[in-house]
Amino acid sequence: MKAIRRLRLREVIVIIAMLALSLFWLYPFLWPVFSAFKSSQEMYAAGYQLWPKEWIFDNFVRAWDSANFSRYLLNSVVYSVVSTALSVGVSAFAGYSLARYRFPGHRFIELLILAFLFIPTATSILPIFDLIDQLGLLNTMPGIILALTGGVGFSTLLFRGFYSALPQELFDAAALDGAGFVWQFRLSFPLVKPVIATTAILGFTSSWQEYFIPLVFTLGNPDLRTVSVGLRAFTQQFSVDLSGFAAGVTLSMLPIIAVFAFFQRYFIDGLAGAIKD
Amino acid sequence: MNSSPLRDVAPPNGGATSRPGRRRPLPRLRATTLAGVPMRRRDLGWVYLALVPFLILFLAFTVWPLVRTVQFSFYDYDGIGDLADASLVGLGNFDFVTKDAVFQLSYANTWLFTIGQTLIKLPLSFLIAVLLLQPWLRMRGFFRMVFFLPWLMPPAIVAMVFYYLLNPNNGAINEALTGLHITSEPIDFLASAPIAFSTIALISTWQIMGQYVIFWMAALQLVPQSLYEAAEVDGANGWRRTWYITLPLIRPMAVIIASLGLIWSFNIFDWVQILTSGGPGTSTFVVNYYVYDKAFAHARAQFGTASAAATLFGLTVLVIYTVVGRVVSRAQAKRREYGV
Repeated sequence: MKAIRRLRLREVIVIIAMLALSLFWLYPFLWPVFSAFKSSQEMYAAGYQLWPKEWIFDNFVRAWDSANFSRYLLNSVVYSVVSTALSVGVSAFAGYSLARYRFPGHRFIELLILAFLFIPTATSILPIFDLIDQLGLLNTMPGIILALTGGVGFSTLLFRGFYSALPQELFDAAALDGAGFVWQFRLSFPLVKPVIATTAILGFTSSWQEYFIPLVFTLGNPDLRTVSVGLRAFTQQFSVDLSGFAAGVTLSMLPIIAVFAFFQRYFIDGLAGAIKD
Repeated sequence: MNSSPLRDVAPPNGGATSRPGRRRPLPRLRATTLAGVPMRRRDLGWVYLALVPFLILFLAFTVWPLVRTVQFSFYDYDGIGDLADASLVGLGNFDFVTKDAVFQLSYANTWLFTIGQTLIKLPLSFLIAVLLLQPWLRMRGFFRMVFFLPWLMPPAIVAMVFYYLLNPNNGAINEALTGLHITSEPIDFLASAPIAFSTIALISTWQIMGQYVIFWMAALQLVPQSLYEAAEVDGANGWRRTWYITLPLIRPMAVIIASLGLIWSFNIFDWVQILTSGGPGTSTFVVNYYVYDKAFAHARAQFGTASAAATLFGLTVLVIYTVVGRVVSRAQAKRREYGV
């Protein structure tokens, strides 16, 4: 009885410590949200207080209109959605083929993926820039989307691993019933939802968070900037407009938080799936 | 690609797909399913067709760029026009880069940051993951949300937010430090390389940690609960249980998590570009920033020099990847052995 009592006290201390840590942890996240409602004067003299003395809404209007922000936000959403769809579609087909079948060239393709899997962005960005230029897609949306989608090697490996782990009898039974490649692939759809979620989420967040590629690919056409690159330009041009910046940051969080709210379970499972192979 | 070599040999028979009896071993090609059942010719066509988009993307955006980077690195190339018009300088770029004090510094900084950040983020996220899985913990959902939320923000935007928070003039963090009399003078968190990298390591950990907490939780949940119960019966306390049961069992997963952590940190760019722009001077340059600087921040783009730096960087990552790959595959074998 005594032992249980002592443990509880320790637990209470841990919970209090975690609460304190969470407050610190939340502060940088909440700072732009609350700052977005402050006036410029209050912002400048704000100190570390979060709560606005007076709630003001025209920061959002200013950020939205003057900084071309709506455009950047739309760009970010379009790039992330299209490149994710592209990457999931392409790698699902390739992963399925590599997992389910053994054909001439199979081993070569798998070795190729493994050998080139972890090429750092810095190592490949200049030729990608050059390639997009040669294709005549520099300073266009498709060019940026292609560069963001990249080689899809990692997601293909994820699909390949997942399809290999499925019971093959299922496919063989379907094949006996006369189902060909396409039908067997469609049949497996309900089973592979988790790995679709994993690749979609990893793809979406990595495109959403990417900075190097959109920065380099929008040097020649500011209209194509993403939120991150646009906000950076905004801070360099209007370095004093802190509350406008905060409003921009707050707006930029809305799409990804909406996606997260809808697919929360998939986010957690999807991320965990990435390390389980 | 989809015109398989078989087309010339076998007569076309579209009806085969609906009649399983027609499946017969195809000589020469030996294309089978995973279970060893010979493939139908039509399916083989589909397989190659399904691989075409992937091969195009992979060759164009992963394999070819690497070849080209190595090729660029032998030329004095400015990134405009034909490579053939640029002059071939042999190993000149490599010679320049390896003797360039700025590159040496960038390279050392990259390693320093990677190791430092990994040493902060891995233990901290492990501790939080262990706590989040304790059955007695209250407000579990809240805590998980708190540690996960920053991961939704792009690092570049987090860096901009912290740029203002850390500002020595009126940034909130310095206001709090001086206002609460923790320090008498505001601290310039980006004043020199050591403090700037420590700051970046901490705030990048703030942004990324939710991801690692989830990784650790996934690893920890693989440990069978019955082992803990048995240890409890034997009188092992919490720390002993962690030390003797949890840690040995999750070691294979830990190796994978740590390897991913190392490789990802190695690519640091956004934080430096936004928070310090490599400064003061060139003291906070990292390799990615060096490549960016040489290729895009000068009046005459130096794709050759940048590519030589990128090639050396890629080689380093390749070496790490090979070593890590060996360790990971050994860890995976252990995992199967343990059955976790």
